[in-house]
Amino acid sequence: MNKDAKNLDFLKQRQPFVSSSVSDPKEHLFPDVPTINGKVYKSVIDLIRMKRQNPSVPLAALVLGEAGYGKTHLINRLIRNADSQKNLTYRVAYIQPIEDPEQTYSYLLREIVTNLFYPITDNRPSTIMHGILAEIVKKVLLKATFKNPVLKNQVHEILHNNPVNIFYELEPDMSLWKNVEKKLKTLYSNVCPPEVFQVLMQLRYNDRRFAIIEWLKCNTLDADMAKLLRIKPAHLSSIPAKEQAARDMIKNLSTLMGICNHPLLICFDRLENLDTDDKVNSFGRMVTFLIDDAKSMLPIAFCRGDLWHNILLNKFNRHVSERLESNTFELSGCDVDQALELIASRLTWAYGHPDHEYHPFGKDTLEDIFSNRLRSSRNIIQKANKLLRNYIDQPEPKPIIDQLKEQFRAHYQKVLDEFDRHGPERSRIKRALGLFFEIKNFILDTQFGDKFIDFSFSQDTTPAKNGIVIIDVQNHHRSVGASLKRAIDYGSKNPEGFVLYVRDERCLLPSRWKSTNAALDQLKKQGGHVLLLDRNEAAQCYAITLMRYAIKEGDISVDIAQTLDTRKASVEDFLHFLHECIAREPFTLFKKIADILKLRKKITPTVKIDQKTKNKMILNKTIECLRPQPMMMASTENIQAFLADNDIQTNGDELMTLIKRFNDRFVIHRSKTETIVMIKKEWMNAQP
Amino acid sequence: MTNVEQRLITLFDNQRKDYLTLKYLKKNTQLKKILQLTPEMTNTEIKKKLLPHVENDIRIVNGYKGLYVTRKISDTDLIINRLRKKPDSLGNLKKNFPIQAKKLVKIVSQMVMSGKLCVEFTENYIIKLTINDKAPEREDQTLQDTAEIQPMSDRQKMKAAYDHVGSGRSFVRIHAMRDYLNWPRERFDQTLEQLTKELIIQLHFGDPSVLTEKQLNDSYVDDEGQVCITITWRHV
Repeated sequence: MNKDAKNLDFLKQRQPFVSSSVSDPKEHLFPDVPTINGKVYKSVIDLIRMKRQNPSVPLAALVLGEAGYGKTHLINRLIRNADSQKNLTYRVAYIQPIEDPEQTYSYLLREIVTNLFYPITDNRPSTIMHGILAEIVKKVLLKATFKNPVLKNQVHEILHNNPVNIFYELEPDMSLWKNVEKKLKTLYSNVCPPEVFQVLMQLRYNDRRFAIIEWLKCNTLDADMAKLLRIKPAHLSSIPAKEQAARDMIKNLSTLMGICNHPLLICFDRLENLDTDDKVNSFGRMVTFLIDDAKSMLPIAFCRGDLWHNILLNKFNRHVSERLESNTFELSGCDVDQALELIASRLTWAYGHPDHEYHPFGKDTLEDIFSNRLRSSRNIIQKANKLLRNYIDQPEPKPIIDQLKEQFRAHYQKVLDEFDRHGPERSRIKRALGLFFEIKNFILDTQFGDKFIDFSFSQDTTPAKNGIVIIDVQNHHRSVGASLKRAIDYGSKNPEGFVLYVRDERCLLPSRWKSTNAALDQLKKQGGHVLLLDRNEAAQCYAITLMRYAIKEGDISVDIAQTLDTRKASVEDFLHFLHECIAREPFTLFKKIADILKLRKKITPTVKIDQKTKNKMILNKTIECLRPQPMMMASTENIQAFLADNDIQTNGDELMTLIKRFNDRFVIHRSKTETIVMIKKEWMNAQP
Repeated sequence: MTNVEQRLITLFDNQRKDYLTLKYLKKNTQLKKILQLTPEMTNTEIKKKLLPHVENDIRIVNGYKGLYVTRKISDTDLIINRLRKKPDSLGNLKKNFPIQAKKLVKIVSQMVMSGKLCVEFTENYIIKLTINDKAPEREDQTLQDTAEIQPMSDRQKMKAAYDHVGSGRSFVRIHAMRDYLNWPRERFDQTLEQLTKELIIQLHFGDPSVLTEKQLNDSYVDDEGQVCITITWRHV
């Protein structure tokens, strides 16, 4: 193979221009180009530095840029470089748009805590929160007097090398920990309640992490969890009480950030999703609160320019907009030099070296294309990708619905991979279920007037279908009992209505909650439907909601088959995709709901197909079925069900014969009860 | 000139200012004595005390922080004198200035259109207003008048429209600028294309779903078939 052909082969394999959207700011596949939006980045860093030097200065900022200009990328750069600035360490929390404005501060707190428990990249199960606590503990331990000189040396060495290891390399039951906790409580008694240190110091026990997170999120703990953390179980029943508790906890976290001198950047992205006045006001309240009351936190809003100036600004309270606008930065398009630098960086990434001389494009060609205007970085990547089609044989773009399916699978897999970081979040499950009912032509009423009922639905069919959805993620028997009571009451009053009681499986109902379990049984006997979301089903809900945020912000692009151009996927594209796919595999939850509501119709194929075509269809659909599954495997029964949903009737023998024949792409595992099929690694992304 | 006017003019001269807030008068011992001002007095009460002394050399106006007393000069001169001391952004200029923000934006836009003021970009993309001493002397020009006095190039007119429609903000809607300028479509599009090529402006696609059909038609479709909704101005 000559050099040119070899290079093209590299590009074909590595696809350096295939994706230009960073829908998750914590991910970075491609190298960063620091000159793009470098000035804005520097200005934000200066602002963080200012906040660090003087936390009492009320600061906020606004970064404006249209879709594709690098808003999420800038957040990504800030996260990447959080530890690499000279004399400045800061942390970043990425806040997804709020869904339930009634729980403004509770939501903000949950998002902050989730971000603080993001893992630090090392071999230990440590998180950003461990890092913050380690810095605080370090201050105490370095000044402490030790009776045992060996222990002193050990502690100092750990603190010198990597403070966070202090939680792993010392025995968790050592008396030293009690002394540290006592010292911290005394030292910071005037700025932070002692129980904050009492609970956080238990991070050294890995098995208490879940309880600690729940406590930090101000969720009601059951007696066991409270006992584990040595705190009194508190039950906050009213929303105002929960909101106040959340505000206090955010202030406490801010105090901790202040003690270790690591400002926390609170990045509000995807403001496009603030689609009601209540959500806009809720966002305003969060910003104002952070500026005024959380001294070591710096809120920054990332927004599309047109959206900010022509829509949101009219809705915001002037007090909020003026404070955000006090530091406004505009993301700028790339000139020809930056465009070339961006393309060069991707080519360097693909080839593995920088001596590519813009092969296969050539510098002159690129200069001609990119010198006539300023372009967004996404636009440059998309143009380069289109240009690359002239040199390498790339498959025709798939239909938009299939591209969105792939995007969904990526979102779904990502949620599964980091499942602990997602939820249980009632508002996101509500958003996903709401979308399902909307596309199935139900009329939704989200203002039901009862905080335990998420929405009611109705459809004018014969017979009419109506009912309620209750999503419950509470961990306290009283709250769970209250939700179940609403479900039972509705069922009694509306015997024809559907009652869907949805609960994340992670929020278990312990058997000792006798009356709660009795209520659950009563609901089932009465004909109510209890949907306990397993890992996959909960992940489907979160993935749908997160993908919708990304679509609304213009962060997901699709290739157009006819023109080979790329455009933003619209909300309509997304709804169409959901409409076509939501009641089928892999959306098991929605399939269940569709079955409950008797929405699915069996379509009998009218066209007779030959065996060869049928085999091909079975293979393609089997791969389609397996790809989104965890570990890319499923039982033959599930595959058969998926095929049936896609109007392919096959029996178990026919399927197994075919899977065995194509052993280059499938592996078969036999368990006691069923046969599991798995895709081989080489076929994970390949086209069937 | 009344005694109070005389003292105020001296005060302006000493402070090298053209205006002061009425509240500030309470701090001046002599004026406080003559006007019989007390620390609790509101602006309206101070105005009542001052009014009998206002003849030809001062005026009382409403501005950013309530009532101000100024030299009796035109609003344009107030702006010019302020910017001559220190070129500044419109955002800073409006603060503590004896002209209300809305009116100030209108006057500044007219002054930019007439060439009395220049617009400069700093390294941080902040738009600064500076004095153009070569501009012809004339006040209160409207966009239409300006053309008669000093012919502006289409790009200057477009910039003026950008400033006016956007009220000093960026990401200005193209349909609104088209509306404002009311040019034949070709003339508007050609100017836009030229400025784009010269990297003076930046076209943005934005979200077309927020526009009405007419607004969408009055936006701009670029040579790659993309609907551009807003522009930002980069250089002068």
